[in-house]
Amino acid sequence: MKDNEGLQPLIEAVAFALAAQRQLVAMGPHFIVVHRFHRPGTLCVQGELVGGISVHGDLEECRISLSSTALLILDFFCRHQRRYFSAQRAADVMNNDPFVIRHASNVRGYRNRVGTLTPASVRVYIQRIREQMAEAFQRVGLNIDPSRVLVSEAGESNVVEFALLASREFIHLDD
Amino acid sequence: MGHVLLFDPDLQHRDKVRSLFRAHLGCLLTCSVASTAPDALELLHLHQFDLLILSALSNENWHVSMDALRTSVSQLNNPPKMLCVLRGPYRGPAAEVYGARRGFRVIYER
Repeated sequence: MKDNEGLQPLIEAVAFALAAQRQLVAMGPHFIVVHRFHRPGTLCVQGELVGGISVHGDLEECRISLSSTALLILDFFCRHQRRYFSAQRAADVMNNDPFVIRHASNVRGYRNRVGTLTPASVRVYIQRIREQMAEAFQRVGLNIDPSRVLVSEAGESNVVEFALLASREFIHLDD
Repeated sequence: MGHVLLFDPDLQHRDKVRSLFRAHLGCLLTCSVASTAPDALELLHLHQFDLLILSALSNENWHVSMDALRTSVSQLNNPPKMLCVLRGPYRGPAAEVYGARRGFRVIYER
């Protein structure tokens, strides 16, 4: 048994890696969405500010560097996790979503600069989100193609639908 | 139970790891001698592995092998996790940092 003592770290690392891989295959990568300026007793309601979204790797987490509009779009897909939306539908829903319309209204003096979204802009932002996701995935050691996480699938009449196939959690901060 | 692919040119070490894995982890272990040969890389496309392990001496040019593996893995639909096990006198942080920046873990065998 003493001969194998040197291999103990390997056994532990392999057991950990296999468990992490099982979770990754079953649930997808894990996103942490921070909602700031939240009011006690409420969760994910209008007035909150999307403070940032990060991806959790095996040992560390990495913030996905995005503009406020891109953050809102990714937040939208996190809130509607595993549900498919065409770019048109996503734009329509977001343009009528109180969370988006009154984004950060709890912040005194904050001017919401998110304009009306169009299907074309949603597609462009999704592409940018994937690019930033790829960098974050690489930094936390996830060998995943972002287009397999924020997926696009051709539906009826060649309409492409998007969905986030991942697990997520929301953290609410009061300031 | 996971499916692990081990690249290890040292046959003796390979057998030791195989028996240890069987005893402790109960995972299915496939072994290959070379890490960069096309045959070995083709294995990745034929079977679904959960974990790839490259075992090498720390004074060898293991970076090249690991980069070849990373390139192959990046083309897979469900890429496995990657691990590099180094043996030898050197146990500094350089290899660990190298791995961390490229998305795999490096551990030293005592």
